[in-house]
Amino acid sequence: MEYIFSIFTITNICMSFLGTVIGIIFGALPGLTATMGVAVFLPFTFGMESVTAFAFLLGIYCGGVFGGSITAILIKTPGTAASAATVLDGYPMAQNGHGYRALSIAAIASFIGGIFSCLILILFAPVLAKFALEFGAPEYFAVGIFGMSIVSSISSKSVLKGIFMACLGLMVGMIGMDPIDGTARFTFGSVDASAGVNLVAALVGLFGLSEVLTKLEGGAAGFRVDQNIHVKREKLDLSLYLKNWWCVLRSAVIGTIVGIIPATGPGIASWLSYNEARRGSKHPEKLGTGVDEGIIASETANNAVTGGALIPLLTLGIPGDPVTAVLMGALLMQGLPTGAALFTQNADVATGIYVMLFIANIFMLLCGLLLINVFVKVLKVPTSVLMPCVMVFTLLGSYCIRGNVFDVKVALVLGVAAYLLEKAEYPIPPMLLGLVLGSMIESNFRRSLLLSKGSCMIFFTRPICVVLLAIAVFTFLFPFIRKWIASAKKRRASETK
Amino acid sequence: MTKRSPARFVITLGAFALSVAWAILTSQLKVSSGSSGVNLKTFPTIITGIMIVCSGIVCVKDFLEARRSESSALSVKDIARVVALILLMAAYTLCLEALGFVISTAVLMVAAMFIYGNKNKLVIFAVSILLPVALKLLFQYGLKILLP
Repeated sequence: MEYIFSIFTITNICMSFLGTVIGIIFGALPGLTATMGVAVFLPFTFGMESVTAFAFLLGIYCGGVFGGSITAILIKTPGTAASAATVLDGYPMAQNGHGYRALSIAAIASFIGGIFSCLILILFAPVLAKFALEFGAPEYFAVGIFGMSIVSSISSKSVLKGIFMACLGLMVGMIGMDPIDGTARFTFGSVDASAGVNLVAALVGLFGLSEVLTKLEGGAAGFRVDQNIHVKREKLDLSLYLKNWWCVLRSAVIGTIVGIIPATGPGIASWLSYNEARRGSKHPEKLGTGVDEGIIASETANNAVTGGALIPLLTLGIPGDPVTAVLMGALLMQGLPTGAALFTQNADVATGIYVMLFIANIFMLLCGLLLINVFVKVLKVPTSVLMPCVMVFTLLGSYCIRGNVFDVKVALVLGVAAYLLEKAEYPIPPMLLGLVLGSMIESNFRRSLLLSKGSCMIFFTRPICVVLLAIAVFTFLFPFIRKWIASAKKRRASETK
Repeated sequence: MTKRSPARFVITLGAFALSVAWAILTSQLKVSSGSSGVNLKTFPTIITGIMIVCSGIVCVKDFLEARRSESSALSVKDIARVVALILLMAAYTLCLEALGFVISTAVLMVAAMFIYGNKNKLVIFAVSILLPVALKLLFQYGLKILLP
């Protein structure tokens, strides 16, 4: 308890607030995402204490998920995919002259969702971590493969391209010293390269610089709020949450469960929850016309994902989506262990992460209720000023990790490569997964085979390992199974007609 | 305007070439005499094999699609802008240590805002000077990280 109070330093509180503000801006601007926000500002946490760094990054994460609702409600343009369902009721409500009411409902719903998932995180993470302590090299290899199995789900257009990108990430991660022998690989004799490709430099290149280049297209006009928007304050009756308590609870549970499942994310959670709200509503025909229930369902669920997504990351060391992969980069950058070891060796940091997630949700609520007109003004900053600033942040961020220009070159090369590959519809998140999980998979794969004297049967004779590999196979095949079921249903429907 | 764009096929071909090159590099890795069957070549050999198969299939698919379909192409102006910004950032990485952070970043900002189409000279110069100075002060005194 004493430790929890010691976390409440002015620095931690200020960084959490600053992170939330930055996150809301990144979330609100269409084209910029929470992932990009966390990636761009990750290097800035290099010199910070671990808890301070997470106060800042979790603020960006929570703020980023909520921020998308601002533009979704005010101008019918969701800042992120997470807020797409919010448009359905938020925008009509704003059009009826109740923009502030819609934003307040969204802020409070996001807060409830965030706090609920945070409580679930606190309850379940230590239990799962205790279970993970039983793991040996084969189990960790299986966990890594399970983490990689989401490639098929996050490669929307072509699974083959997704697999290629994941492999590319694995190969880029192999540049440098071999984790077992300590021999240099793919370094071409460069001393800088023998230290390996810095994960943070790679992240800012893949998610920051590629976006900076993409925003140049189409006359560089990009996104800008031209309308003269001003949100007028209104009084909000909080009893509406009591009236809709079932909708709130159901949405929070949906969001948290979706967050725990790898390869899903807040976008899926908000649509699922909105759909359930429609099914469970006494007046389903009213949803989509600007009713409270629609905004509550979407916003509670998308923010409940934040705590849920941290459960597999903190307990097993596997990121379920791009933004948690970037947060895993933050753990590695801070020299912290991932998985169960975080709870045994650095339990104070794990506690700090819980507390800071709480604080971030509180700041998100306050910003959403009190500073909304400030964010609307920030949205008016033109792309031609904003993107060069983001570019400088990314280049500077990649430099300051090791004080080395080599890392800036790495960020630039990967940024340009990501930009070109995206043009050919190669998805970037699988590459990030490969980069983050590569070392874990390879070292545990080799250790396992050394233990078994080269026999692959070691992966199929240990129960936890077999279960994890079976789940990995199912996760990988799930999108194909879903497609197959959908087409079979369609066929059957056309046959009955 | 739309026209037949071979860009996607060219990029996929590049991905295939990269996979093959990486497989060749993997085969040239030297394994120490004492290592057992599982060594530093094992994992990259598996991964490059998967890369070659995937990019090979995608290459054939993209080649066939490029012949069949029409896809939107970037305008010459857009391409020129993107290339200019990439060259600008490359020059920045080369000059960063020689010119120092503030000067090189200020020059980069001016040029980048110009490329992005900003015509407001006051904004360009104000942001280009204030941002690098503010960042230098923040890193040097706030985060205790030395910048060039």
